[in-house]
Amino acid sequence: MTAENIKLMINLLPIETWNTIYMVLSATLIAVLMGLPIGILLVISEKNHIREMPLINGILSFIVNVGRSFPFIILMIAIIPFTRFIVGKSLGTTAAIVPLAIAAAPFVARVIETSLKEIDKGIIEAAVSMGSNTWQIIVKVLLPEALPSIVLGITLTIVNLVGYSAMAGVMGGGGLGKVAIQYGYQRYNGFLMTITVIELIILVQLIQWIGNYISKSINKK
Amino acid sequence: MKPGNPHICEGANSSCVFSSKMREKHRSLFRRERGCFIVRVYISFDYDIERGKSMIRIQNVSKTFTGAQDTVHALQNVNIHVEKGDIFGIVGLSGAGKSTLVRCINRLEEPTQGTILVGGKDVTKLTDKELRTMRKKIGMIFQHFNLLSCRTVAGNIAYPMEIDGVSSRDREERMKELLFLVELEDKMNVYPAQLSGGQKQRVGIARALANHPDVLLCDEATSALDPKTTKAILKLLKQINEKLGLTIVIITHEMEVIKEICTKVAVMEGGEVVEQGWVADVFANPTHDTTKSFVQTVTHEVPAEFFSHQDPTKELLRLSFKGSCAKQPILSQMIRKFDVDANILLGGVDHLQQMIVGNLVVELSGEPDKIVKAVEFLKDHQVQCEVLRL
Repeated sequence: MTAENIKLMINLLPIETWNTIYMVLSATLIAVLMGLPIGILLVISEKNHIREMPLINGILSFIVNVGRSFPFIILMIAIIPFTRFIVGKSLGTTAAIVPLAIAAAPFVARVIETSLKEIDKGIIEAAVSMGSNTWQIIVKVLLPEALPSIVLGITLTIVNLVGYSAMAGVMGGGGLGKVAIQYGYQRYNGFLMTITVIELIILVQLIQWIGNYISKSINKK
Repeated sequence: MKPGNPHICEGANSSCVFSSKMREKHRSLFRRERGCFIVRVYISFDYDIERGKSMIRIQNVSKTFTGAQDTVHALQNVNIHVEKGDIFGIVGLSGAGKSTLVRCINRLEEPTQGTILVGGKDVTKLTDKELRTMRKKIGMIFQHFNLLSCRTVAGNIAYPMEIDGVSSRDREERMKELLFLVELEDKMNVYPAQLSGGQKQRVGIARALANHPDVLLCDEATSALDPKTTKAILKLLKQINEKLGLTIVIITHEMEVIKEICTKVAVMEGGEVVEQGWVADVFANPTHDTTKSFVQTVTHEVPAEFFSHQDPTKELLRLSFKGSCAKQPILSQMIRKFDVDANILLGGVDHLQQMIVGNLVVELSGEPDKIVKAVEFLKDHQVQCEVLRL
């Protein structure tokens, strides 16, 4: 541990930690906005659910599966033109948000789908029997009933995105991944590598702990 | 208003007059006009006039489930008529189709064939929007309560009013009435997970009544409850029926439930209604085998050894008395008149909705021709006689 390393650490870590959090949370937000409606549609269009639509269900399910079968590193490179179209450049922290969000959206859709499927069919039936329309059932029954489970699912998504964001370092994105690649891997700086890994571990633990806490406190079952 | 000049200051249906808002109005009237007495007159004439009107008419309803391998005829040509104010029981073993039938009434299941009139409207012909409006007037309670776990008792009861666009002030008021009715005022802010089964069903009932329904459907509503809680819930349903004139349809596999509160009953087997009528009639004189076995679950059974002898001078009879003939000493008249002996093996009298139904199992002994005459005598006096043989 040299003075130079300490100086590097103080200069780099706070800003790159922020970059990681910025990338991950923005990507999560966009992924949820895209994945939530798809997840809801996947559930309600199922057989014997409130809006049975087998064709739409089949198409959506196929699209989600295609999205999920791309390895992230390949997806990131494959959609560079799209990224450039959206944010105007293909390099940098903000540019990395685009592939992160697109990679996470189908995952979020499946997470939401699984959470909504856990709801007791009887509760939905009761809501139908009271004369609720589809929108009321989604907003007042499905989402509130599944919320504790959805929170855990989104926590899982965030943790996954922390992992993906490290790969974003490859295409010039910032964050802790960049530190690990540039200093740890390319310059053989074992100290900085270790510190980065420890920080990532702490970060993931913290995210999981917060997610569990929120889920538990809103669960009234 | 002058003294000595009585007049009616309030006229409305009973549920309105007894609501807290109305009572408040009377009280202020009383304070303002000293010396004026308010006499509450209980005339529920609207209810009596309406009673007997057709509420639900199920005509030739069939339902077929088509599976990959086989088709199941869940309902076959079912005809049922429920009148306003009835507590109509539908009893049957599991798989008899009773649950499918009741779910056809609010179209949670689509009948394959037939018409279902609720309050004169054919529910099978409604558009989605009309159907939702109709469902708001048909309350339903379930075996597993189906409460929203993320909402408190108050939130659950508010749900049907929210989707009906009732203002929050009116919701509050209705909530208080309903919590009072189901005796859960102290549990308002509690989540369902902290309630007992009976309390959950009370919330279910309050929720079903929130939008002033015309009909309450009960799908095995007491099957998940212990006997004591079952009685309390049935008592509550009966009370609601009497107080609000609400028509209730009850699905159950327990004859005890039918005996406890129903006025009419339909017995189902294999998707068909095999017997229906007034509960007292069906109990006194069950004709179909399924009905007999159901009735026997709540009456007493004769030990098998009494059937064993083949003595022509003895005859084992089940006698059913109904209404006025249950109050007359017909049996002792018969003994004196025909010189036969009667050994009473079993007996019981049940109260079924103000109707007295007596059941006796007797062994008559005497000369065979006298026994035949004695049986004739009983039949002449409106006593149902069934000869019991192995």
